[in-house]
Amino acid sequence: MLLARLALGGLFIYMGYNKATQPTDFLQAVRLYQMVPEHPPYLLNFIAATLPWVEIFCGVLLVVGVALRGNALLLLTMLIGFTIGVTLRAMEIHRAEGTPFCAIYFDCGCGTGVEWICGKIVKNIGLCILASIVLLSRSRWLCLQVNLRRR
Amino acid sequence: MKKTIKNTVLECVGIAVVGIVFGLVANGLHGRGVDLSRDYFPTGKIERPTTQPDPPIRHPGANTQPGSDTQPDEPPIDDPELKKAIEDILNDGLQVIRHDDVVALYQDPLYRGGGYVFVDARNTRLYRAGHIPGAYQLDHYYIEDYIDQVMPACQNAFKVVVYCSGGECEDSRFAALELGNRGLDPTRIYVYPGGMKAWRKANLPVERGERLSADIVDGQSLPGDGHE
Repeated sequence: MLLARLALGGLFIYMGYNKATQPTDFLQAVRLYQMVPEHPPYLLNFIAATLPWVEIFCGVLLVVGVALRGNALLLLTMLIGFTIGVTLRAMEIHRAEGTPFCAIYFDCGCGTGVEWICGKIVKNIGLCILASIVLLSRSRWLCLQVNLRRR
Repeated sequence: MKKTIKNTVLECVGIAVVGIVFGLVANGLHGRGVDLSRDYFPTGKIERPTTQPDPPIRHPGANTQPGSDTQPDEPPIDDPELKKAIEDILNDGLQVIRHDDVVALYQDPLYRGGGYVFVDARNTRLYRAGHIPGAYQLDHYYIEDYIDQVMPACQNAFKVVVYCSGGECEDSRFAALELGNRGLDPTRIYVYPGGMKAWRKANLPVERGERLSADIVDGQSLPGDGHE
């Protein structure tokens, strides 16, 4: 549980930091998913502006051990959303360019650079498992705060 | 059990809300954060004045409809990325300039005298890694950092050639639209869709570092292809 927490939290801090330090690169990546309208630009800009920092925030909370269950649920929800988004984008590239699905190698805007799509999906499933472990575990070893509700 | 689920969901929503507020504050404090109200991807805003004739320059073969100004001797474009880029540029009311014409402008003495201006629309890292010698940088995502230097040079030029990495890169189109929207005569603006990819493929000279750094090397001697 502790390892899952630290690994997941550390990874989210790392990915969030990479996006937050290159905000316009992340903005371009979000745009390519075509999941939100480009015009008017508010929603697209809002996602690009806040998402990296939300990831860092969640990562820090997870590492220090605050509000673990709610945090793990949020990360799990985000991971499922990211995985669906990345898969749909890869399918679009597959349809447009005829590249075999697992041969698609692109920067998904995840903060980890260019990656093979199948490897990315496997990694995301692994992260979902880690988030589920944190969500379901009762262990609160080395947690700064056991649960926000008890405050 | 029900209570645990409810509390977990409430905790999740609370963290999301606080995280978003944190994100908005952090983005605001970040010197180069995203401007929430800015349209970073402008489209179709340039209206070419009907009173002015088309400039005497050839366009590549993407626009092959009857009545277009495509020259009959233009070779067809095989690269689908490039073809799409050219169509997007023309749809935005911008003009396309082909590789040979860019090279001719570069080799013209007027280029050294500021009669023709090249604008590199890529980010600082790519620009410093290698740009067309003498080209100004205009990263349109941070346009205010560059526009005061670039705009006067463009206004004094007969032709302004905007480029980025080439192929699917759209930054040259957005930078050209920004220049047009800020008052530069759109008949003087040309987008070079081949970009650095085509320039380097032709092994033309590339300048590293700052503009006019005099650190000039052959295009093919640089690592990478000018993309991210």
